[in-house]
Amino acid sequence: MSAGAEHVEELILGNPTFSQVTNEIASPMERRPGPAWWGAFLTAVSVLTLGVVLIGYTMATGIGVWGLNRTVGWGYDITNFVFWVGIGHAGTLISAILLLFRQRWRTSIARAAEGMTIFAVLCAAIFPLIHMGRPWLAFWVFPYPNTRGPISVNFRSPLLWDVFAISTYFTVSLLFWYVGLIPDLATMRDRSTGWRRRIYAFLALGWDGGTRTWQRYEKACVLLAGLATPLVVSVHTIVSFDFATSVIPGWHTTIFPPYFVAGAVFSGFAMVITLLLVTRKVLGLERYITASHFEKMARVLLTTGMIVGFAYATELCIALYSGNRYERFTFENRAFGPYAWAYWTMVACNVLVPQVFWWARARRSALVLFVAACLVNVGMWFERFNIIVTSLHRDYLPSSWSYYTPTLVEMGILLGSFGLFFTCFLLFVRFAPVVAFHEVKLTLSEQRETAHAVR
Amino acid sequence: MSRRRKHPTPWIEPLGPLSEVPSPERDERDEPPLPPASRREFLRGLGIGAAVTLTACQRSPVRHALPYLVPPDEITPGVPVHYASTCTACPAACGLMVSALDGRPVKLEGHPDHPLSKGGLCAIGQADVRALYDAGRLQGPTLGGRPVTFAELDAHVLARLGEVREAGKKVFVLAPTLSGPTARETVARFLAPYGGTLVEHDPGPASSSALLEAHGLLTGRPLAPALDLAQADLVVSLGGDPLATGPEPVAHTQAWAARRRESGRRGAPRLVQIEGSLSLTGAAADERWSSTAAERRALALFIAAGVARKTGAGDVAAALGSVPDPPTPARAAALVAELVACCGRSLVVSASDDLSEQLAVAITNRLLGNEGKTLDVVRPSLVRRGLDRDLAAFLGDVESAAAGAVFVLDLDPVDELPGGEALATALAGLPLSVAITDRPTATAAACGAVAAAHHALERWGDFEPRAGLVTFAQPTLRPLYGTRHPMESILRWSGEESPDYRERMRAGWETRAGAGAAFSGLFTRALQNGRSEELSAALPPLPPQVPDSEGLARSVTALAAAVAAASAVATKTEVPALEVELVAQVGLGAGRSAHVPWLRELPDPLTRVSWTGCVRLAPSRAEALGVADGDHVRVEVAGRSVTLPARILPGQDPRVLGVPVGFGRKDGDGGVAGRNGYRLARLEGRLRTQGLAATATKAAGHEDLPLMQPHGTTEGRPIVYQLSRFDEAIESDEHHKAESLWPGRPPTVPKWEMVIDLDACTGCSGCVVACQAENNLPVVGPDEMRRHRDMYWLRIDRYFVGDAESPDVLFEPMLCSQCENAPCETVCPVAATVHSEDGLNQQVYNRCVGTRYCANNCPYKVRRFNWFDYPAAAPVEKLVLNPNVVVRSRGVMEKCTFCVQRIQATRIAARRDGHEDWRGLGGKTACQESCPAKAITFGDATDPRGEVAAMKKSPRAFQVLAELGVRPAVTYLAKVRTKEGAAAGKETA
Repeated sequence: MSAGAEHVEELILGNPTFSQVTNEIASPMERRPGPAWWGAFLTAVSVLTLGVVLIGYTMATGIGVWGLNRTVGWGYDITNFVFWVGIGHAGTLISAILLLFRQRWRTSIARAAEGMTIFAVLCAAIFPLIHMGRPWLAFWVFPYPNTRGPISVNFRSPLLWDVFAISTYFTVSLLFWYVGLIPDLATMRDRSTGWRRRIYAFLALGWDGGTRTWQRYEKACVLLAGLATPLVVSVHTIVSFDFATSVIPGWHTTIFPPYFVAGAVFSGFAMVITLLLVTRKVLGLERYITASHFEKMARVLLTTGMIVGFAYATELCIALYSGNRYERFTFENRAFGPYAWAYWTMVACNVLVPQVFWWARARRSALVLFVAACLVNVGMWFERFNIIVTSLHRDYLPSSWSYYTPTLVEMGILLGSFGLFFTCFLLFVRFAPVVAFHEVKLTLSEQRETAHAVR
Repeated sequence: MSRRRKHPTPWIEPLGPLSEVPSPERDERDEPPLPPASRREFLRGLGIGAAVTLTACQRSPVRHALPYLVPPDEITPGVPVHYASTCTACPAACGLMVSALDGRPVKLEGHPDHPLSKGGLCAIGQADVRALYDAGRLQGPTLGGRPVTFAELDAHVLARLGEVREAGKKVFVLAPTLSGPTARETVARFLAPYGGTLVEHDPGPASSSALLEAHGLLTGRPLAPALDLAQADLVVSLGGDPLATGPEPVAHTQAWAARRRESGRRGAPRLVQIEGSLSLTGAAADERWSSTAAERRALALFIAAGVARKTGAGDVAAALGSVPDPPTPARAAALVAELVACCGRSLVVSASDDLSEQLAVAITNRLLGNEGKTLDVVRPSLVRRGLDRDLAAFLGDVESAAAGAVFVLDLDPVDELPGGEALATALAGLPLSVAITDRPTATAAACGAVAAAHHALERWGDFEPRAGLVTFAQPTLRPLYGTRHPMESILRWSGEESPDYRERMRAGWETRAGAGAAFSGLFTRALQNGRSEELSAALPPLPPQVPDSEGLARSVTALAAAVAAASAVATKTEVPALEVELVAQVGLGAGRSAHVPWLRELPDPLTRVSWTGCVRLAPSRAEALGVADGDHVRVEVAGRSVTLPARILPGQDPRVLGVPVGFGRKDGDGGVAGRNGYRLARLEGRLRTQGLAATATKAAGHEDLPLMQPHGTTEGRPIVYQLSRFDEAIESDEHHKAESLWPGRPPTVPKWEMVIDLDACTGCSGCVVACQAENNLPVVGPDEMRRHRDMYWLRIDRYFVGDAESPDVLFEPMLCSQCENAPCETVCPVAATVHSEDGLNQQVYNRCVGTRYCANNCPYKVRRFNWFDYPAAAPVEKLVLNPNVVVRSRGVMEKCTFCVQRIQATRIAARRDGHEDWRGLGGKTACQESCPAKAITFGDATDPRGEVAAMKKSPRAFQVLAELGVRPAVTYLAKVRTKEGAAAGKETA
């Protein structure tokens, strides 16, 4: 997967001129939005509003409006949280790790993926907040000097680690994204007029395009990439500690950190594919986001999908091998218990569906990619649902076994989080360049040089 | 009122509505009206009223609540005052210790010195305090549905009584068994001028009439023998539920458990329960046979004949002739042999409504020489006196309009008798029908006049549960509403102008015990202690018994005649293929407390269903009918039917349907039609409630059951143990020995721990209600129960072990284990659950943000989350809240605290009193205090002389999920079932 010298891979098609690049990428920001955008935006905002109303209802009435019970204390709430955090991972992986590994193909998709990360973490952050019985006291989870006596937070709690992990992740991702945007914001500043120009000018932080500026900028990017890289691994590792450090069979598993990270990358790439397929079509960016990008991402999907499948199999084997009756039962129960439908949905979507990408034609077919990526997203949501709900609903004492059925309120809030995600994303494509101009131009010039050298 | 402060804590809400209730008494006596009371003033007045009531017992009765300028020393806010009294939730009259805080009773405990209940109190008894504050209580008398004053009511009653006397019609008082001499005398005196009759009837799943009649033949007195299970090495129980829903369950449970605790010294006792519908007694039994009513009858006869042969009572054997074999003759013969081997140490009891079975049982006990040892006919039990023939005569007179006036006292025959609808019509048509009740019952709706009565905790009274034992009840607060003591109503209608029941009671006892200077002190002490030996000695004697030989001969003749008659018709009557047996749900009993939310929510220990009555049917029967849990089943007996959801209950005889009583009442279910099990009973000379030939069909409809515990088995997990001998050790799982890699917590002194003896536990659920009352647990309602959101800090897990048709039932009370390495403590992000220095796992409500992580990580699933704001009850219902326990708000987690408020109160008192070891004194938890079986022991485990340390060394001791390394502080002692009867002749050492 490298743009090596032995074969020339055309990452940007049609060899456009630099001004063509600028014009094409900036055009969605400069022309009036069409009916497609408005339709999508209004839908997203309506769904977001629904979510906000339902969250307000929950806060006013109590968590009882959800379907949780004395046995299953977490359901949709934490499932959604882990799902959204996982989605975020692809962005960081693409922008940071692929940057460090000098994968040139990342340039066209990195910006969109980073944006997705920010919005996904935003969506994720809602759930730990609203799942609290008394969310108005959520600030108690931060270790700050207070007047309530020597009461501090509990540093042994994985939920507290989550607070740090997620807030760090969000901060670094936002910073990385923003720093990456600066040269492009400057371009937009130079192209726009009136109040838009003033805003872009403010955000561009006085970018002058000088060599020294570029040098510092490149250095900052690499440093931030270095900072973000461990986060790709650490955030989902810590999220997995929520479960791994507990005593509940099905949660208490050492495999969780790598399994969660792989799952996160898996689901993140699926979401990137889903988003970009639509984005490039709607915004006419086929030249920049090419079939070869999707092909590469499909390979990542196939690889991580198999890692995830391997993790499922490992869990089953270890449960069988452990001799621990509770552990064994939990996995039997996942596969054959009342939530078997959720388990097999997960296996089908996460293990079977990606196998289609062994075929190059499938990797290059937009339709197959879209359907498969959507299914992987569904599957990964169910993976978290299985881990959380199926483990809880039948734990140690059979006397407490119960069944959890989500209510419409919970489903509405999940929908609402998608509303938030798409609202943010749609605004993003309107107000910021969805493909990084400057990086694409760099890639383009390298591509020309390489082509020239080969010729 | 202007001083009234808006306070978020509900239990000190101002008592506005209460003080605004017009009190007729107040008006009559020209007392200046009380100024509008502030919360503080009202509570002070209430407290003073209660205090004065007691302190003034020494001189003269209190008629007025007088404002004190200086509050009495006894009332300290937050410090309970205890009153000895008597429980009247059922006729068993257990001893009561009422804790009143700030002048209002908030907790009922058993009286520790009571000779029968010995400190235990059942779920129904404990919930009576909730009934006191029920918003649905009657608040004043009514006439034809119109609120009136008592003066108007009395005028009406007296005028109509005069008319009835002139018309020459009969006068009846219908009441539950009145065991107290004062009540009996009062009613008798009232009825005397009219030649009226007192009809006693005790509603319930089984009538005691046949038992009384059998003993009427045997002893000449139709009174039930007093049982003493503590003396019995072998108890054979035919039907019924002596340990839970039968008469006097607390006394029986405590005696039975006491005997089991002595198994080390006296050998393992055995309880053999032969029943059709699974009961708690059956669950506790060492051996359990399932049977139909006819089979039990045959078995009783077989046992009587066999015992007669083996004990050398040849004449009896001869008179009985050859009796047919029961279905399992070999097993029955072994049982006979075992009984004979335990002569004088055995006990046969039956709850049958069949006279021949009861005669056979009575004869068996006499032949075995059990009388005077395991059962007492000389000093019999007096808690059930009603004879069904009197009831039938009464109903006949009411329906034929031969009756002119009926006074129904503390009963609801319309909802508790099979022909309730007809009775309601007949009552409404009588010249005078008066319901004396504290609740708006179906009977009250049918009666023209309703004399609103005090709640039991507002009444004076005396009781004689056993011949020669008198106990007293005293009011513990001023009446909340404009009600009147029922006996004062009777006295008023007897012609007394200003009746005073307490004075009447005192005068009666003065007559009996002999007036004198000593009497006043004697009577005061009797009220203070709730009972008195001196006054017991002065009780009026019972009628004499007939000589033993004569009684036995009479009984044998009657039995032989019955057997002959039965065998003559046996060819004609077919044994029903399917029969109905009326059963009582543990929390509901006969149904009188069906309106009490604590009891409605209390899951039945066997079915684990709350709020809803269900037909109990065996798995094979359910399969045959094609029904699953919650499907509606229509059960029809002789043209009358009830439709109830099904609940599949392993252990139920496939030929027997258990139909609960107590549901479908006007006062409770709001008259959900067709749910009242009493409709299926049949009054055929005696009230028949078992062995009723029935048909069952699947009906349209299904409802999700509010199930506390959907899953019934242990799945083979080592979480509860059952042994076959008391000295047997538990085969420990290798995981139990798993050692931790980490150093343990530094040991704490003291360390509070609990030991629960599963062998003594019958699952009676008294502890569950005790916990609810003590710790202000909210009631969540059936819908939330369906969502598995019960709020119980202590629950009783029920597991079926063995095959589905005849499983063993194991109960395991489950509460916070206060783990030393508590998984909940590590995961809370805000440190809202922490370990105390005396080993408790504490939940800090006001620090909790409600992540529920702790509950997820609790292997015992004992943590409860406040899904909503629960304590939004009517203001009066908040009065029951214990001010020493915080009421939790929405969004926080809660759980068992080992009653930390009690621990602290005890320690503070001990320290104040100069005890050197005050640290280790923790008192009793609420569950422990209420347990009739004394199955719960609590204390400092570091005290080597303490009970907890000793019991933890028992070979039966185990801890649930100890292999997780959480180091729970609750230890269980395994259940023992001696399934093999000691072979005949093999004496226990």
